[in-house]
Amino acid sequence: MTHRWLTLSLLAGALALGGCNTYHYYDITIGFGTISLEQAGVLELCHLDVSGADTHSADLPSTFNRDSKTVCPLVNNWPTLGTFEYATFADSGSITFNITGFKDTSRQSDNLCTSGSVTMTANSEITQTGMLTMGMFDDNKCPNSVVHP
Amino acid sequence: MRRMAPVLSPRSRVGARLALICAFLAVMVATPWSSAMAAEDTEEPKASRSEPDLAPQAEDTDKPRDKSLLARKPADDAVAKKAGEDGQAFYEKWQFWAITGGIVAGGLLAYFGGKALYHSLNGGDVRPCNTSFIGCYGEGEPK
Repeated sequence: MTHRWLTLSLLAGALALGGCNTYHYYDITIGFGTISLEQAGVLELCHLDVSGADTHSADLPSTFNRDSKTVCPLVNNWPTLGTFEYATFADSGSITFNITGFKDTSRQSDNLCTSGSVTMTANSEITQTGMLTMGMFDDNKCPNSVVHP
Repeated sequence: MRRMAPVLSPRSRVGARLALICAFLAVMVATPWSSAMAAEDTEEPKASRSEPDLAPQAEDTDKPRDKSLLARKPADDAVAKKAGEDGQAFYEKWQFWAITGGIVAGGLLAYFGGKALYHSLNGGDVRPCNTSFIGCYGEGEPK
């Protein structure tokens, strides 16, 4: 009898602990919105910042970081930059994804061309999808070097 | 009228006692079978006395004719087996290796099982990244 209770307690504990750390996935698609192809072509580096229920920071794939593939600079990925997946254990609160695009590989405000963000509500759902649209493009900081005939 | 015993002086009485003791000691020493003489016994052993068997055991030529005396008995085998078991080193016994193997196997099982259980309780593996995605980030993903 004692052994049965012990086994059940261990099982319940394991299940309870297992429930604490369950992956939740956010599949976010990044769209350029009103940003033209010429403007988007200026971007050299795109960066992801996650805040809220979880925090993270990473560069999107880039030739600058010698990644196997690149999305900034663009490679046939306009008007949709692409979709990324973010995994977290957070299952409550809000989680904000912010994308910034720079005309140079140094992430300084002088090089910031555009940015966009989306906020999701973390819950028990395993996979959530969202759409992130980039905002206004700053032509003053990031002039288009392409000369149209 | 009763005859009176001669009256001796105390010194005479002590002297008489000493004389008696000396006489007793002289008799004891002079007697051949007394313990006092045994200490100085130089008597040679008698020739008629039977000689003990001093032949080395390895040269014992006594060969029993009754072969049943030399035949091994079940009790001898049991004793020999018991002696053989008792004479084994601990690492030569199967019980030692059985217990050691059990401990090692249990330890490995506990280590890897515990590690797997801990990993599972902490969410397990993150799901594989979809190849059509530009990237996967966050918990469980490579930095």
